[in-house]
Amino acid sequence: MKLTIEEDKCVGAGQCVLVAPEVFDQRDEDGVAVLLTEEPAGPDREAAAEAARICPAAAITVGGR
Amino acid sequence: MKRHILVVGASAAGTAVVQHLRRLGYDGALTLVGAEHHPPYDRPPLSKRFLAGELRPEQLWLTGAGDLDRLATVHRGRRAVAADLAARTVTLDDGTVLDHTDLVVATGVTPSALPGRPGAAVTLKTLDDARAFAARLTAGRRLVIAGGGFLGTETAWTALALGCEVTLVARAAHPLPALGGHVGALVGERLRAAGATVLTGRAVSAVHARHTGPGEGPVTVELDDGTRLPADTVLSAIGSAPATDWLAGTGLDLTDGVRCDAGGAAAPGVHACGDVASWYLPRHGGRLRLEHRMHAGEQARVVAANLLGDAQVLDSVPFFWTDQGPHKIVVHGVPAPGARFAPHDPDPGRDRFTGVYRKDGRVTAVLAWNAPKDALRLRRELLAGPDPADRVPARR
Ligand SMILES: Cc1cc2nc3c(=O)[nH]c(=O)nc-3n(C[C@H](O)[C@H](O)[C@H](O)COP(=O)(O)OP(=O)(O)OC[C@H]3O[C@@H](n4cnc5c(N)ncnc54)[C@H](O)[C@@H]3O)c2cc1C
Ligand code: SF4
Repeated sequence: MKLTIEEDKCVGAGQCVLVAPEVFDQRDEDGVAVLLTEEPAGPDREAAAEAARICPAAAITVGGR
Repeated sequence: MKRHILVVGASAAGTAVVQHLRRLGYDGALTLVGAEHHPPYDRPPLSKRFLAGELRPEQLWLTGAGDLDRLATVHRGRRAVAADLAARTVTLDDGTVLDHTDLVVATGVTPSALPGRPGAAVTLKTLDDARAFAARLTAGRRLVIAGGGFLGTETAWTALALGCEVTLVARAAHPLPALGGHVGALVGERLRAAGATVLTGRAVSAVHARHTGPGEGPVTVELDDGTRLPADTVLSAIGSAPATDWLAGTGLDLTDGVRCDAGGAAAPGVHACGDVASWYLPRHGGRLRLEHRMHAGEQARVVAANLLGDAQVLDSVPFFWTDQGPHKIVVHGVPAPGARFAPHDPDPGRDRFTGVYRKDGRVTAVLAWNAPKDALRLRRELLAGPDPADRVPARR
C-alpha cells in the first residue's frame, strides 16, 4: 500500500485524522492533511483505506498493494 | 423477481451507494441513473478552486475512468420522471421503464429560481453551470449575487479574486445566518474589506433583461427596497429545494425532502440519502435534512449496508466546511437555530479562533475560523466519544 494526498483537493476536513490518527495529521494553519507514514502496516492499513473512502474531497489515493 | 437495486441520482450519494454495495459483496443487478452527462464529480470546488481556474475537470471526477461501468449499469444523461412504488417501477425521460426490487433516491437538490425573469440569472450547481459562469467572471465585470448563504459568500470571494466588481445581496442582517451573528458579521466585514459591496436586510425582487438566455447581456437587478443595480451577471444563490418532483403522488412524505428513519428507509423497498433526504438523527433528537458533502457519503454507506440486511443507524457528528476566500471555516455538529455562540479567541492578533454553539445548556456544534485542527480537538472533547468509535454507525 502506498498512500498519497492531493493537496490541491484536500479541504482540511480532518476526517482522515479521526479514523486513522496513526497515519494522518493536519497542518496547523490550513488543515491540509499530512502523512505520518506512506506505507502503514497492520490495522493502520485498513484504517487508511477507510480514510480514503470517507474523505469528502476524494483527496486520498491508495496505490500499490 | 431477482434482486435489482436501482439508484437514481449519480453524484456524491448515489455513486457512494453503488461503490459501497459492491465493496460489501453485493453481486446482483445494480443500475444507476443520472441526469448529468459527466462522470460523477465533486461539487464543492465549483464555487471555489474550480471556479477560480485552479482545478481541472479531471480533478473533480469521483471515480476512475470506466470504474463506474464495471460496478453498475449506468444510464447517463437520463432523468427519472415518475415512480410507482407498488409496481416497483421507475420511468425515465426517454420512456424506459426500469423494474427493480429496491429503490435508492439520491437526486439531491435543485437551485431555487429568482422572482421576475428568472431565466436572466445564472445558477451554480453543475459543472456546466460553473464553466459557463467562470467564462463571465473576467476582471471588471459587475456581478450581483442574490443570497448571502454559503454559495453566495464563497462565490463572492472567488469573483473578487478574479477582479470582478461584486455586490452581495443578503436577506438577513448579515451573511451566513446559519452560523449566527458573530461569524456572519465577521464574514460581511471581511468581504467589504476585500472590496465587495454587501447589502443586508434586502432581497432581489426582480431581474430585468432585454435578452432571453441566462447570462447573455447586461441586466438590471431590482431589490425589494426599490434599489436598481446594473450588472453584467446575476447569480441566483437563494437556496435550493429537494429534487423530488419525480416522486410526487407516490405516497412518500416529501415535506422537506424524502422523510427517512435513522437508517435511511423511507418506505418498503425505498431508501434515500444525500441532500434530498431528511433522516431521523438520534444525536440531534429529530429529523434533519443537511446539505453537506460529508453527510451524503456517510448516509450512502449506511444505506448500502442496510440494503444488504444490516440494521445500521447513522449516529456520527455532522461536519461541513466553507472556504471564505482565504479563510477556512469548519463546523462539527449542528448550529441549531437560536443556539448561542461563544467565541474563544486566545490570540486576537492571529486571525484564528474557535467557538462553541450551545442551546439549552447543551453543546450543539463547534466551529473554527482558520483553525481546523482545534475544531477536531473540540469535537473530541465536547461532541463525541473517544475516536474513532464516534464514527462507527451504531446498531439499531
Ligand atoms: C457550488 C457548491 C458548493 C458546495 N460547497 C460545499 C462545501 O464547501 N462543503 C460542504 O459540506 N458541502 C458543499 N456543497 C454541498 C455538497 O456538494 C452536497 O452536499 C453534495 O453534492 C450532495 O450530494 P448528493 O449526491 O446528495 O446530491 P447532488 O450533488 O445534488 O446530486 C444529485 C444528482 O442527481 C441528479 N438528479 C436530480 N434529479 C434527477 C432525476 N429525476 N433523475 C436522475 N438524476 C437526477 C442531479 O443531476 C445530480 O447529478 C456544495 C454544493 C455546491 C453546489
Ligand atoms: S479527510 Fe480528506 S479532505 Fe479531510 S483532511 Fe483528510 S485528506 Fe484532507
